[in-house]
Amino acid sequence: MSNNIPTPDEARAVLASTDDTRRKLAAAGHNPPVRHLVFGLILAFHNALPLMNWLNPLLALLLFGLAIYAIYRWDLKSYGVFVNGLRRGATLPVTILGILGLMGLFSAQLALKANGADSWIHYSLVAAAFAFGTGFSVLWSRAFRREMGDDS
Amino acid sequence: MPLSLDPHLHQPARLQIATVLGTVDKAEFAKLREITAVSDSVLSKHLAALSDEGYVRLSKSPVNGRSRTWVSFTRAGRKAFADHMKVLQALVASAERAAAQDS
Repeated sequence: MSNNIPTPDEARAVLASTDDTRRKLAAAGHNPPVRHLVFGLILAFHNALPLMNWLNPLLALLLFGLAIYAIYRWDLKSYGVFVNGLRRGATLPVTILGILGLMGLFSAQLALKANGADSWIHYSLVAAAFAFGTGFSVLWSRAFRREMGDDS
Repeated sequence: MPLSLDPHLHQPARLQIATVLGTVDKAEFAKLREITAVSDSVLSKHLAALSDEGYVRLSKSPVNGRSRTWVSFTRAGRKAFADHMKVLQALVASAERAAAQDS
């Protein structure tokens, strides 16, 4: 570039270089299966909270927060970056869907408890929360990789 | 929009750093070194320049008992990068419009 304004071809080349950089970042979306399963377990734990009468509600919330923090530290340690779930981009609709699903499953658990549902129904919902959390984690990672230009 | 690129983000390695920080909340020094493929000292100089300009924030926190340097965009840095990209995209778009009119 001869001055502060590049030619269109130079601008195109610079934009292509930023696409290359994003593809390198896509590695942060390649989570191992155990990372997805752990996320599913955390959401299952959250869903099971209303059933744990023996657990102090504040302590339960603290444990849930600690589990989320552990995932955050895991990502920092494993990938050297932290990607905010609420960042703008292709992952945001997935995140919103995840939050709505989490709230919906939790509300359903509370409603079942209020209506005195059978234990197997409660545990089925906890299992559904586990499947939902695991699936959500897989979908979010895939959306991130696609946005970064990695279609694998 | 005035066609002016940000001179502090013009250099390829700095644009790579900005692209990473525009996507993630924070990145470790070693990750930025891996992506930019420059030496520690060169990366340090780029980060110092971006920090002096108020574009990035550097912090240290331990991972596995070892202190590591983390880099994140400031609000000014995020805006500067967004503006820089808009100028590049506008240049390409105007060239494509001109080519379409000629054909």
